[in-house]
Amino acid sequence: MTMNFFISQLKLNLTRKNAVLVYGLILVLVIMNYLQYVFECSGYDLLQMYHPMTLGLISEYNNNGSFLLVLYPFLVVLVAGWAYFDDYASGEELFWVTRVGKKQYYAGKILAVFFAAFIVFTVPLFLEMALDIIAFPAAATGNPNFRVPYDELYMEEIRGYMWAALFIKSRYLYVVFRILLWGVVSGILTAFTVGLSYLRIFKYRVLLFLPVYIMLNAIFYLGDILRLKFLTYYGDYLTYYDTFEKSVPAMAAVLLILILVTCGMVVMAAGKDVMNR
Amino acid sequence: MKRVHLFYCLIFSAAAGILIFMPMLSEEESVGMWELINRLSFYDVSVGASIDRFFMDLFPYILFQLVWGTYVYERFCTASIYFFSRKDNKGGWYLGECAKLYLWGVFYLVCLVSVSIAMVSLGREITLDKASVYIAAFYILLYSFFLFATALLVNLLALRIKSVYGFGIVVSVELLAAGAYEVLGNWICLTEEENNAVGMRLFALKCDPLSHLVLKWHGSFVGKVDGIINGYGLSFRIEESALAWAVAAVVVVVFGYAVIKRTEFIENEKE
Repeated sequence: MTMNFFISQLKLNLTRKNAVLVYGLILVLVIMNYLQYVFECSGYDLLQMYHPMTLGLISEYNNNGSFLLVLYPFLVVLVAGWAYFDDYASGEELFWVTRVGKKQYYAGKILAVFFAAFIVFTVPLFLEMALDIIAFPAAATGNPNFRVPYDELYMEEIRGYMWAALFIKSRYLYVVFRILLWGVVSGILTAFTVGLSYLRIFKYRVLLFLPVYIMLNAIFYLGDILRLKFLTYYGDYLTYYDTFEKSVPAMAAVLLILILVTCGMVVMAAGKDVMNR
Repeated sequence: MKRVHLFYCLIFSAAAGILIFMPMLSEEESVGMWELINRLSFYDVSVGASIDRFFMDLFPYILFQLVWGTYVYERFCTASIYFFSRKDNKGGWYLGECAKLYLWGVFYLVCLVSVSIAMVSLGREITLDKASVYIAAFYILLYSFFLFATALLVNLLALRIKSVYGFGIVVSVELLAAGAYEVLGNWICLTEEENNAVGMRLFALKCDPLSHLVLKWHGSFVGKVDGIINGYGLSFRIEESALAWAVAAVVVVVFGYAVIKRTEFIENEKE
């Protein structure tokens, strides 16, 4: 029963208008980005060509990604952030709670939302990766900054990447890993929003944009205030091939706190009386 | 006066003020009041820069648009039938709400400026002169029109579509306006050393609604003020910009008047 509930919720979240909208937006950006490189690289010699794994939408080298990143705090909410809000408004919450139980309902909903956001945010990027592999020669080296392999500066740059060891082992694995990470972060942020909506502190849908937006901005400004030595803008952590100083433990800590807070909100919601609307 | 709005107003202005001005405390020499205003109005953006910078600086204003984006709209949600069956003059009620929304915008900006002064004065001396007061007054005038026009537009779109999409449309327009600078950057060069923004180029810059909010590109009709802020020497006056956003606000109010007149008041399908 719980599994059925989870699958039905996942399907519902993926077919929602908003999820389709976000998916479509990322897909449009992906196609724009792909076509841009197709036109730019036409007629290039193999030696001048970029490696297919440097062309991704969320890699550091292109501008189309920055549009996506600016909208990112809103998109993670738009994709499925109102999943509970709708259930509450239509009374479906009561229906499911009586069928599957409170704990299962709240936890299952969070999981379904997490996976929905994960799928919506990663599938277009994997599609792009496949397109790049098919269309661009794998024998090409270099990236849009450096075209000469084994250049000393280029190697220096590579050492500055986050998880550089994985990149040196395999570029393909590295990109897959970064896309998965991007999906996981998006899923966590969406789940956090839905967890907050369990508490019913926000009366209007639009106000659910606030928590993630304020949090991501506050973290950025905190870097300035505390004069941290690493970057704190979320975009720098989500894109790859950026060489500025970043802190993996700080990122992990923020994500862990978000997961714990979300779990806490599920427990709180499960302790509430559903009939008391 | 609604308590929840007062709460949001104080919390947001305090949070934004602290986050934005805390880094200023790292230095010790005295600072002119106009520099604080400069920080609140896109002090580190440039033509051709990436849009994330613009969006970071829009932070306090987007918060206002989010929360006050339901200010007029909320009357159509809970107990709307009760509420509107007792209002016989729709137009008058709407104009009253507009006036209140505008005053909230002014109050929010005054809070923001006060918090910034309080924050910076903890560690540095703030020098105050007539020109600074003039700039602060025009900042509040200009940005109050901007906040009012955009927040009212969110409300009106929410009425016709849904609260979420109203906000989405306004933010998307702001995103496009910020994105336009990346395109303009290929053509206009605007740095401290080199500046070719005259004639058509300056006109193109003025066509972007966000340009009117960037204080450092502006001059003034008052000579003393012009001497302080006009680092780029553009003929782009802060008074004109305030007028431009005032006209935009009036257009939105008139548009809203038409929308409200056509909206069925006894309708209860909203959030």
